[in-house]
Amino acid sequence: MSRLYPRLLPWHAKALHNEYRDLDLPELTLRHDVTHLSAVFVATGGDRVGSAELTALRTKVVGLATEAGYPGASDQAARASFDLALAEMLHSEMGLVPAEAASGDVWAFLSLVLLPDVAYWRYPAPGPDRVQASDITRHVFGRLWWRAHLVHDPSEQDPYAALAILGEAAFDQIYARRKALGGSPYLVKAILRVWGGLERSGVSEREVLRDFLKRLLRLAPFMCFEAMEDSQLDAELVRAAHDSVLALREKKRRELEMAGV
Amino acid sequence: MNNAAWYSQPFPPDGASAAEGIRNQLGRPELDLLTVLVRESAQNSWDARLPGHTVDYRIDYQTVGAAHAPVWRDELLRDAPQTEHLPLRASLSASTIDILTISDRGTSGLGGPTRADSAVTQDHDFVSFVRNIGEPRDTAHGGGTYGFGKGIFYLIAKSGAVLVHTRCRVEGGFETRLIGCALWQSHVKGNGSKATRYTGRHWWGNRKADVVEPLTGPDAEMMAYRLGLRAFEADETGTSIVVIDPELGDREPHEATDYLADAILWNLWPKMLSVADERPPMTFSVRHQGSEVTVPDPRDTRPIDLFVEAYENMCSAEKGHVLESFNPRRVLGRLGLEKRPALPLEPTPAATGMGIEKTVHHVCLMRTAELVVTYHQGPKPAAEYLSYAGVFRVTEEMDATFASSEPPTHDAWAWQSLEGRDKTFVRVAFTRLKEKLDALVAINDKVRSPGAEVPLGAASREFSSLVTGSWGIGGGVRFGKPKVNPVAQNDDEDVEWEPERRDVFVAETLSPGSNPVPDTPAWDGGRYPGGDEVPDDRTGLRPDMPTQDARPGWDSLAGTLPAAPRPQPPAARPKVQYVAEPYYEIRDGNVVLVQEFRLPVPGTQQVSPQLAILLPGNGVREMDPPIGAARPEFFGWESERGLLDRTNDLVVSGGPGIWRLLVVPAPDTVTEIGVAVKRAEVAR
Repeated sequence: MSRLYPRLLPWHAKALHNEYRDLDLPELTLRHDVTHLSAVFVATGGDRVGSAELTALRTKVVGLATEAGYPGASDQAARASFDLALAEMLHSEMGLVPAEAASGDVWAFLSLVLLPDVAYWRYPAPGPDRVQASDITRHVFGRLWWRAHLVHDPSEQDPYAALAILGEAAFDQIYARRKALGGSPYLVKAILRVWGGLERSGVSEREVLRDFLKRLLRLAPFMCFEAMEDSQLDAELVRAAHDSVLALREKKRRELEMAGV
Repeated sequence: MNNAAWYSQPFPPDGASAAEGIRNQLGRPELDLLTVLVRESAQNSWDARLPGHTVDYRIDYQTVGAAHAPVWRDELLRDAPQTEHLPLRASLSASTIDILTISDRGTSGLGGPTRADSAVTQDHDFVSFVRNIGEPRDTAHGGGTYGFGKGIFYLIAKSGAVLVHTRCRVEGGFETRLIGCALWQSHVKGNGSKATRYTGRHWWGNRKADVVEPLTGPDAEMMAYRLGLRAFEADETGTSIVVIDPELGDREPHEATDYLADAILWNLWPKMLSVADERPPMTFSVRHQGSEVTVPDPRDTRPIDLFVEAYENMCSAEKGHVLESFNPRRVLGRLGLEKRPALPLEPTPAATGMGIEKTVHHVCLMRTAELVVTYHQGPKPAAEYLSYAGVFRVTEEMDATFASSEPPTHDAWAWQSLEGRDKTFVRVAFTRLKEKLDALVAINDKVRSPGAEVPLGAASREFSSLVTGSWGIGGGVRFGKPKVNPVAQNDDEDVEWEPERRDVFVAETLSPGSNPVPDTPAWDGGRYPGGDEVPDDRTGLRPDMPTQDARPGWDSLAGTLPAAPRPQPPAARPKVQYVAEPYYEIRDGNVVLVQEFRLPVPGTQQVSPQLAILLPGNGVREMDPPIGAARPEFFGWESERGLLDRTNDLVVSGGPGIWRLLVVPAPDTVTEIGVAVKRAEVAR
């Protein structure tokens, strides 16, 4: 069943962010709420969540954050594992359909009304897009839901296992090309599949991924990835990824040669 | 007993048209003479139709039988001019006399007075056909406009002579008329002060005072019978034109009659269609030595059946399109289109004559008379196995405008020769036509991401072997302003361009066409402006494109009429006209893509290749290629004489010649090639 979440419209989100960005965490915790005067729901499309459910959601998020060191400082690794756990939790428990999750206002409500303390803890002094959700791919919660949505595979024993394959930065590379590549969960899953099995020793992972995605972009105008069988798509992707690895190794070899000379 | 004889027209003191001038009035038609004969004579027949009658149009090729031949020699050589002045004598003295008879029944016949000086304003068919030249037609929405069409009968007569055999209504009944007419060349007879100049026009008939009158009534019927001409029924009217010793080109007579039947199909098929069980407007038959030659049925004959369907679509309220001009606002005509997969077909000679190739991608243009003006060639569909046909018919209000754009042979609409609004109307008609056709052949005018659309990739792969080497539409190219999408500033969307027509070529594998707009090489690798974690390297375009003035001009190939040279203002911006689609060739062992183009604007100008790889999105180009990946490479410029120049930015002078841009494409990509041109700084 699809759930509808309250939405915080951009004007209010902006005002709240202007107010909150100078506050410290305890003050933010005090201001959290399960409703907001100006929050709205869309008229149709599912059942509205009640305050009890929102409270339960808050409890779970705060619980995950606490494991990662909240409200104290945390290191990069702790935040990364917090993101992975949160992505899985949000996607599996919120009951959002993609149409609802595509609305930034939903995410703005979560980050500015329900969980301002966690949001500002995860990104201290965040840019507006982190909390106002002017760009969902950069929103503190929204990006995680979408990342989980793109990679989850209900037929697997652990549907979210693929989340760990690519780091956040790498994933953003796919996002950045979402119009061409990232918009298709089918292709993203295939990329992750191929990526997991790719022999890429000796070259920078990030550079390989970048180059790999560029090669896929070239194919996209005349190849319909979604219509290909898994095995064919994988073969196509493996070929492109392999080309990238070879090209990078060759480039590296030349650079070494140049340095030697 | 009559004594019909030839009479040569001397130059009257106040001058007259010489025969050569009249013979040349048709101009030098681009169409084959037999095709012109069919078109012009059928048009005459159509204009002479009687209300409520089906026009029966018939062409007979025959050799005058042994029983009749002596009569021809006796009667038609009486007082005939010398062979050097008219070849009739030679034609009739040959061992056989061949004649081509074009006849119509169910038409009015050539009625009215027989003398050109009778002041009759209404019915003067006889005079305007036999005597006068260039008299305008009075038939409402008739096919003809110049009255020059009859010249074709003389042009195909090797003897220079034709017999006109007609039966018309006269006061108190019917009258049969028979007269011979000849048109060859002006000449002088006699010597010194006795010399007389003749116009080269001759008539055969009864000499009465200063004019030759046709044989009429029983005299005419008797003579026609003796000559073996097809008689008229008592209440039948119509006209037969007998061309003595017809010129068939290098065709055998039976080939010529086959060709005529085919030409009738291609030029007159709209007249063969019966609407709602009514009889068709005209019936056609062709005979060779008395035996019938089949005129194909347009509904069952490929590829004309496609035009018939397009015609029916045009007539239907739902499927027909209305083409309009917007400024001034006027309805120009209706268009019907039909598209279907079809195997390529070797065109018949008549079809070739009309410019049809193996696949049909043409629009049949017609005025309200529904006589085929021409087959206007549209863009080729992306696939060889796809054909389309269209029929465009001008509205009654616009008929006169389009008629005035036609040359004497009525086989084109040349808006270049018109002025003012009329010019606009005809030109806009071609523009609208092109828009409709481009929309029709566009499989997919943008490269789109597949998204959640129904995936057809698997199916396309199954069929891909059938369409290897196909590519998007080409031909016209126009420059548009790059549109900087407001979202593009917002760091996350690819810059989009206003879709415009553009050549796109897919190397090695199939792909939909694409519509980006080329420009001067202002693109470069835009950096991702806002990412705090990911240095992004996406493709993007700089919004600060060069201004309009700095950019070269481009022109489309809209309209395919024989283009009259347009007057060029002194410092016209250089333009590039692309010629057809790019194709592969091998040069120096390299597979190269060749794009032909013209530089129509005179003057020194600099051309540069514009090469890119297209990425998903609306005309998005690759800025940052994968490491070591192939990119399209400039190979050279080739002039019309085949000289190859490897200079990237080549300075040349414009002119009518065709240039070729040679490019080594990148495999497995959508490669875009274009030519940028700008005025060159003249070296001093």
